[in-house]
Amino acid sequence: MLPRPTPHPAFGAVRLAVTAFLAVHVFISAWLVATVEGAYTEGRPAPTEVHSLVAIDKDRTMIDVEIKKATSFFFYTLIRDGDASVPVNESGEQDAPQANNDSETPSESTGEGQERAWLDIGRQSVGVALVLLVLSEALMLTGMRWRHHVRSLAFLSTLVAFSVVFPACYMLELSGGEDEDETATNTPGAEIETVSFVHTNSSSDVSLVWLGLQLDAGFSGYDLGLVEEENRTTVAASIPEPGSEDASSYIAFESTFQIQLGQNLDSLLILPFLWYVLPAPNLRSPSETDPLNEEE
Amino acid sequence: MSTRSKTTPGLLVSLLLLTALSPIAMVQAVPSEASEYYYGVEYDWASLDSDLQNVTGLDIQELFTEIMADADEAGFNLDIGQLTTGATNVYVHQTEDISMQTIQDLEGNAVQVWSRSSDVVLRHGLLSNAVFMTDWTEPASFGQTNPAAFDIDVQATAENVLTVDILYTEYLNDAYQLVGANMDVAMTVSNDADLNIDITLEGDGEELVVDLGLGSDFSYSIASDAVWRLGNPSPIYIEASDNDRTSWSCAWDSSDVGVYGDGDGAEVVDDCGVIDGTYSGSADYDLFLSGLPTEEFGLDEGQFDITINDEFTSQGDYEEDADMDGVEFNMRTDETLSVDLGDGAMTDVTPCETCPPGNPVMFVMMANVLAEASEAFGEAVQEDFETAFEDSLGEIFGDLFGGDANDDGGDDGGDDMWTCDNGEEIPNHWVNDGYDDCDDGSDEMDFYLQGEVMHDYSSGEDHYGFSGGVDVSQLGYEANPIFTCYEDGYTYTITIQSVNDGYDSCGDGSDEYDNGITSTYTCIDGTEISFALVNDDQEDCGDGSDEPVDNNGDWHYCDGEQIPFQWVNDGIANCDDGGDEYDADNPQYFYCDDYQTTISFALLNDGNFDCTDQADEGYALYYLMDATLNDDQGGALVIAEDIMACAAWACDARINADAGDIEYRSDVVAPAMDYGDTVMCASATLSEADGTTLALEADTWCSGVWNGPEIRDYATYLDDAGDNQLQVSLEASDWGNTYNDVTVNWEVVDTTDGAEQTLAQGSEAFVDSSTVSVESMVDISGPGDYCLEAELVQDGNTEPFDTYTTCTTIRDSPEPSSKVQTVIEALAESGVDEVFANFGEHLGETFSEVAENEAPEFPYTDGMWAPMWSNEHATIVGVGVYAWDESENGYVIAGPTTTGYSQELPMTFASIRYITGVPAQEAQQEMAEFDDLEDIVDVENHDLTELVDVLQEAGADTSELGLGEGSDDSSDESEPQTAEEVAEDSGLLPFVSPLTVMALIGLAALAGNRRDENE
Repeated sequence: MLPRPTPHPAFGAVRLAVTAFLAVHVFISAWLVATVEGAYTEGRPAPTEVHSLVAIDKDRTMIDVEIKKATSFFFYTLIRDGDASVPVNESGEQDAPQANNDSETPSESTGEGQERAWLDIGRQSVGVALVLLVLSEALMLTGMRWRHHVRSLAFLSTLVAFSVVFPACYMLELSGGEDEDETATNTPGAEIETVSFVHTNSSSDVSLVWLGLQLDAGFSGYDLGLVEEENRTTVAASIPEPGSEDASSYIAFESTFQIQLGQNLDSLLILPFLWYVLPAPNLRSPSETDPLNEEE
Repeated sequence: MSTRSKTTPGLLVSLLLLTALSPIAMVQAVPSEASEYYYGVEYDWASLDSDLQNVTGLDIQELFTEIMADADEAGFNLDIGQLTTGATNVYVHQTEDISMQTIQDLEGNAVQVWSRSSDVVLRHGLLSNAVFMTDWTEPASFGQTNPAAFDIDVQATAENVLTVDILYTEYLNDAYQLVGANMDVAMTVSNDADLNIDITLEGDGEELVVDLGLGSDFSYSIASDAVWRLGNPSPIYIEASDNDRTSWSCAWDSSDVGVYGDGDGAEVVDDCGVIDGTYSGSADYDLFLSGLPTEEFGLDEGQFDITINDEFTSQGDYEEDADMDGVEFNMRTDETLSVDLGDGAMTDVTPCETCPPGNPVMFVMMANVLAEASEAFGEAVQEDFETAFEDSLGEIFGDLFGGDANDDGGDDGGDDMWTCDNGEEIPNHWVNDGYDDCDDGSDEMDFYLQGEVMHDYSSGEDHYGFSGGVDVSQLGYEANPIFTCYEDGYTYTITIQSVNDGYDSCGDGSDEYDNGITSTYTCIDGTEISFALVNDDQEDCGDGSDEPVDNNGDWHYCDGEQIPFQWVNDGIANCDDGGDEYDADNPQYFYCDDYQTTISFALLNDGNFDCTDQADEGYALYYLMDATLNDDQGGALVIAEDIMACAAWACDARINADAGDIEYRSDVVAPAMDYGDTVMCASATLSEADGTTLALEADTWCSGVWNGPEIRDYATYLDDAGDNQLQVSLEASDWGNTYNDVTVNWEVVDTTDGAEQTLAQGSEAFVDSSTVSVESMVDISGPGDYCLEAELVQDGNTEPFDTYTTCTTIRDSPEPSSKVQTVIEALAESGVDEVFANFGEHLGETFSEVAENEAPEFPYTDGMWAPMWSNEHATIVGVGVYAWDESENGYVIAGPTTTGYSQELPMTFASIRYITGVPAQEAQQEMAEFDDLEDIVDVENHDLTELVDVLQEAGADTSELGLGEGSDDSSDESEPQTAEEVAEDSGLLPFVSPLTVMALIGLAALAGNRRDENE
């Protein structure tokens, strides 16, 4: 066990200064970093690789995308019929994108402005949490009762704001943007749901990484946009014969999606350590100057 | 003795005179001494502005200053600056190796040769920066608090590098004839271009800031090791030395090989042989776009950066016929020069005004090698993609730029596919088109026929018929010898029948001896005869190549018809009057030997020659054809048997041995055809004259015959005209016929979401016309899918005989954000348009003044581009540019020291440095090591502070340009961060492990605590 220094009146001010410094430090740093490493492993867009990095800070979302070995993807987009699709029957064709019905709800209930508000809400939450964190440390300089509980609560709130609220807001905003198919299904007169990939297989595996989550996902299927119009129904009904022209519409994509807190956020973990190694005397009563009565 | 003593000096004088008067000395033997020399040309691009000013009087910087002043007067700030640094250097090192060596010729035979080499190093590098800065703020008016304003900074940077290394070794035999050459060539070209655009727009209280960066990096390199061997030793260098004008071309046929022309001009026609080699190529590109404002795409505020790149490498080999056409040696013998090639001695040279600045043969081989290697590389890369995509890249790009995925293609047969023997599918109209489109060549058939409807002008009726192609060589026919016409640098061929026929078939009349242009004819076997003897019915060439080929054989003329001569006296009466059989009761006679001999008809085909000209015995060459023509349902249209096919006019089926085609019009009258495409399927066999031995067989091939007008796809389209309107353009026509019974119907249909809603329609009838055109604008409701459906209907019918559909998709234009709209509207309502109008007026005046400014007086009255042909070396040994003033004083603008030409120039208009000898050798050796821009170009001279100072002098704020240290410049702090930079930004603390921080704090606390305890 680390020996604890003797409480000193100056330590409280030092802790406040360090807390304020760290609050500013994390405030101006990246809060959330998402990376996507993907590659077409089979089919006409292969071997195109996609590398994407998204960094979100207090007021911006910065997106870097690099497409390597891009020529095959370029030709793929040229020859692909983007309007190709077949209707999904109600008997439970497995190729139907499962997310379509679910995603209609947010689309109908939230407008574009509301989608953006998710991230604003997240940012405001983080900002408030950081302010509370600094104020709670300032309260430690007063003799207010339960001040150490307030500080602990503020600290936990800050952690929750960064690690739960803000990522959740980001994911909510992301899900609000992925509604490409809704346009078609919501168009008046278009009551039939359609898909452009059939006989799809998808897999995913979620794992924890330091200060974040990692999602390994794979997707494969037959792209109807690469199938002659007259063959689309046939391809949708049964998997094309290997070696046939329609079989060349098979595409496989593998990706790793990782979402992590910004690298500077872990500096907040210094704060509890500070509380321990920089104890201040209790201002309320001399009996409380016992270091054990200080916040741990 | 006295006679001899007088003759010897006379001969010497005569030889000297001949040598002096001869345009160029002849070379016909291996040089007695090997030579070696260097030359090089260097250009410093920093001199570009001054060179331009010298020639045109235009001071670029001064022009920029005036344009900036125009902007000031118009009411806004404009600052322009540019800086260019670069170098282009070419060095040539030529050596001879006169020792005899052994190489293999095209046939693989060992031949003795000597060699000479050219080592060429080219390095080009260019670095340029350009800056454009402009800003304007709307003059404040009473009560206005948020004036409109713009501030735009544009920076462009470009870097170009080109490197070429060539080692060319050519081999000549002891008669100075070119046998072949080897070449190692490596070329790299790269181009990097960046553009940064910083835009700040303000208006109505809103501010739009865009910091956009875009750029492209591209590089391509190809290296090849090639061997070229000619099909015959070429006298090109001998002829180039011996004539004022010499051109070189490749023979279409081995019979064309030779030297043509007379006097001071020669045309060398060679079997140019084959170039084969290996290649190694690579290409890569990198495109990037940064600073896209994400909020304009409905995302959170921020920016979006994207980079797209790829790289390709390939290596392999190639083998192609060499194409040496285009090499010309036009000597200016009136301006021979005496120059110093770097060895201090003066060498006589002749300017070759059509030559490149090096051996022309080397340059043409380099073009061949680079083209073939690049093509092989491109094909290898293309094959990779085509394997993945199955479509050819041509089809992909065709779909992108010209095709329509929804086009029914009905009237051009675009969707009808033909299956090759190897399973490939190609468009039907590619079959038998003269090109191998299937990899196995099965689309080009030895014999094929297609159904036709042929007009009989004598009866006025249409008949079913056949036309097609046939490999005549398999039938024993031979194409006629070809005569090549040379006219204005172009060559084309005519058959020998057209030579000396009394008509000028070549444009210059060189096919007629009487025109006095052509005096000799070179037979296929290489012998020469008088041109007067060509096509005179007498074989004068040993191989008979001066006379047309007899593809007909012998025919007997009956009463108005011809029959094969072998049918005479065969016991069967073939002529209508029976006159082909000897009739003892009514004996006939036969005239031969040009009507000088009369023999009994009974002696014909008796196995003995009774006439001197042997006309009493004969044999005609013909075949018997069985042909069938069916409709597309299999119904028989024509069944023709034992149709005589031959190259003579007597046969019903005519074979054209020169063109390789066959045609037959049947007796079956074709009924009036419906309009549209009528598919007919033809098949046939060709048998020997005995009627049993199969010679060739044409498989059934179905093809269409179109009748009536067609909807022209090239003139029929549906385009977005903007403002929710579609432009309809439609044309239906025939090339010649007019119609009165056809109507064009069209309609525009909204097919969005599978709906079929007609938006507009119309009809237009043919009225004694061959063309009907429709132009119309159709209103639409907005984005969606729209189709133009057109059809041609014959009066009285309901079914169209031609249909055409083309569709287009109108998409939503991206809606700018409200901030953008606000700012743009504010700027539109401000007085900025007036400012630009004023600027335009001032700019017009400035350019008018520039145009009126007189260019500086040009001291030269004539000039000459002079690649230097050496009599001694029979090649180009240097290059120069010369000029003369009005007093006919000559100047070396760029080139070696030249006798009679001054290097003290009254005006320098091209700062070219020409070097020879040791300086050229050293420069070449140094430059050969360099491949990077930093090495080729003196980049330290590319001082951006000069550019900054110029801009600052003009009053520009350069602090945010990031161009380095100017007088008041600082490092660029405005460059927006990328996502990676944001993610890795260490904030206020250098990024260290929190554990480390904790440990440090703990240690500090403990130390403080211990100190307190001690105190």
